[in-house]
Amino acid sequence: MSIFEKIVEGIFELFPSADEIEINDDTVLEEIPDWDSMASVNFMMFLQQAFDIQLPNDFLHGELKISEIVTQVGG
Amino acid sequence: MITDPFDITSSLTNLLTSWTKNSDGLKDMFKKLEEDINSNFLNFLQTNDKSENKFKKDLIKKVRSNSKYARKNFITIHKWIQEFVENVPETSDKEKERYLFWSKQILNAISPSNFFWTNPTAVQNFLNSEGGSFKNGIDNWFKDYSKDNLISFANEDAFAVGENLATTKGSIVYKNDIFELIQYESVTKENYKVPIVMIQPWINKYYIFDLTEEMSFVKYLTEKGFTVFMTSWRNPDITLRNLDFEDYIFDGVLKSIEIANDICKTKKSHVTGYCIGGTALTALSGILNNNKMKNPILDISLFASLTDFSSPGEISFFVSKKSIQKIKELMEIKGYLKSSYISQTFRLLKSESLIWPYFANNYLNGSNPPNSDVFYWNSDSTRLPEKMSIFYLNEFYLRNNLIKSNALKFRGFPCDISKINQPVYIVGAEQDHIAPWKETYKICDHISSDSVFILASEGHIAGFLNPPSPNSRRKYRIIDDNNIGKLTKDFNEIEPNIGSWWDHWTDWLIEQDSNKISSVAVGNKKYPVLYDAPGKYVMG
Repeated sequence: MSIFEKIVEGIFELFPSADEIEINDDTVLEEIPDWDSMASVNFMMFLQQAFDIQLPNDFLHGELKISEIVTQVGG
Repeated sequence: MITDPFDITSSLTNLLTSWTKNSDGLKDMFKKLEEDINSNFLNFLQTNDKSENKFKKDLIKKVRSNSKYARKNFITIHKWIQEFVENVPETSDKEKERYLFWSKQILNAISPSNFFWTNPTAVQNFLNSEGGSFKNGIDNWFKDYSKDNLISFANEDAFAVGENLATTKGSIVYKNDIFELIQYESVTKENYKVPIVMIQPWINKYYIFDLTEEMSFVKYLTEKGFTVFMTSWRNPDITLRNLDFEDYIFDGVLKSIEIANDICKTKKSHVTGYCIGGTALTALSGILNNNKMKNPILDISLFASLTDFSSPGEISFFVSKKSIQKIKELMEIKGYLKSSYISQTFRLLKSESLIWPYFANNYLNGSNPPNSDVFYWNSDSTRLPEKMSIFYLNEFYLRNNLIKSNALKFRGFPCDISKINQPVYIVGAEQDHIAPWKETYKICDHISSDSVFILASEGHIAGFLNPPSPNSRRKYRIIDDNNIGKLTKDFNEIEPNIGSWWDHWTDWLIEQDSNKISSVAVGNKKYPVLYDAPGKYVMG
């Protein structure tokens, strides 16, 4: 399973309504239904657990693209 | 009222409560269950396929495909229910909102991620750990049930107040029955003459503004050259059942300001109030100005604070004459509102973020709750005294009396917030679900003094934990006379500033008084240092 696929799977689990939109490299986080600051904490938790990494506190924001997350996580 | 003619709820609750009296026996029962599940799992593998890896791969593939199908159906049901509620005939908009809110609670609960076979991560973890995640999930549930029956959403072993949270150096310079006052040590040679007094909410602990070092608002302010004081409220027990809102105002808010002024040898302070702390501060200002009393406040800053409670958002679905009566009954024996009741209410307002992801993570996936300082603080909630709770719900949420001239008297002094004449700096947050920003803005309609309104991105907590950082993509909008019209139409038309509003706020404070003096010592003869911060009340 690629990093992208793993991230998308996490998004579907945290945001059940995310199936309403098509998620690709250019999707920005605030396009995800129910995205907000609380959800971002949960998403951060998912990324850190799923990829066993530490991310800076201000890494996630509404305008961040999926491709940027893939790069950060993969790097 | 929930109908339960067969008394099913109490039957199941009693079953669990009786078992908690024999915790060793209960552990044995769970151990047996875990062993049996593991054994079933191993048998299942043996009878299904000789190649364990192939079986696991096929199974997870099937689960992914099933969960995709489940999600599609979930969205269909979600949309249908929304339409069903929105189009219900002969129903007021307010009632529809109530229907939608409670329907949303059910929808959030039945999301496919909350069920094992439609949650690929849960199944994957189960397979990878050969059933170990199931054991962890049960253990996590048992820990939560034994504690307060709330799903943990922070790893409690990762944080400790005074060790890696609330560590900015300071001392308690005053203590009474309801609060301790912290004065933080200056870190600059010179300080601004006028101190900042921060009135914290008493619904949670004070240290939201002093979390980890990199997030600490207090640290930021002391480094900017301010002397900072902060209230740390006592977690009330039965002895404080008669503590009223007016006691918080006079014995807490006013007392803090007087002490700060005395220690800093100044006549007035910058005073900020966060959440209910801001409501109390507004009420105090309405009393002092209305009764022409000696006023120790130079300016007022309100963070996520409600003054006008006419549309307080979804929390209003929990407040009615009937629910207040019920809350009264809940407090009758112990004299306070339990912290778990308050926590659960706030979590329900955002159950999609604050309940269900943790149900899946902790119980289905068998993972530990995250190391989140913010959520650790959020879990560290407090009780509320009986008298204050009833007053707060009745007079503010139900009757909206704070905005009515002289409708409320505190210790006999009538309150009129329209008489406030100090400059006011107000911050609301776009996604705030506890103090909706449109409501926090409404104070501007009731006061005639100079005011600045800042609309910050994020929500009730993240909107205010906003340390300046070169990478920050947070936004804030400054609302003034030129763009006020756009605010009520579509705030997106107002050009945002990128970064933190903290610098803008401290610049505004300096505009009010820019005098500097040699840094003041912590405490003085009248208010000597009692002991080190974070103090004792925060531990209670």
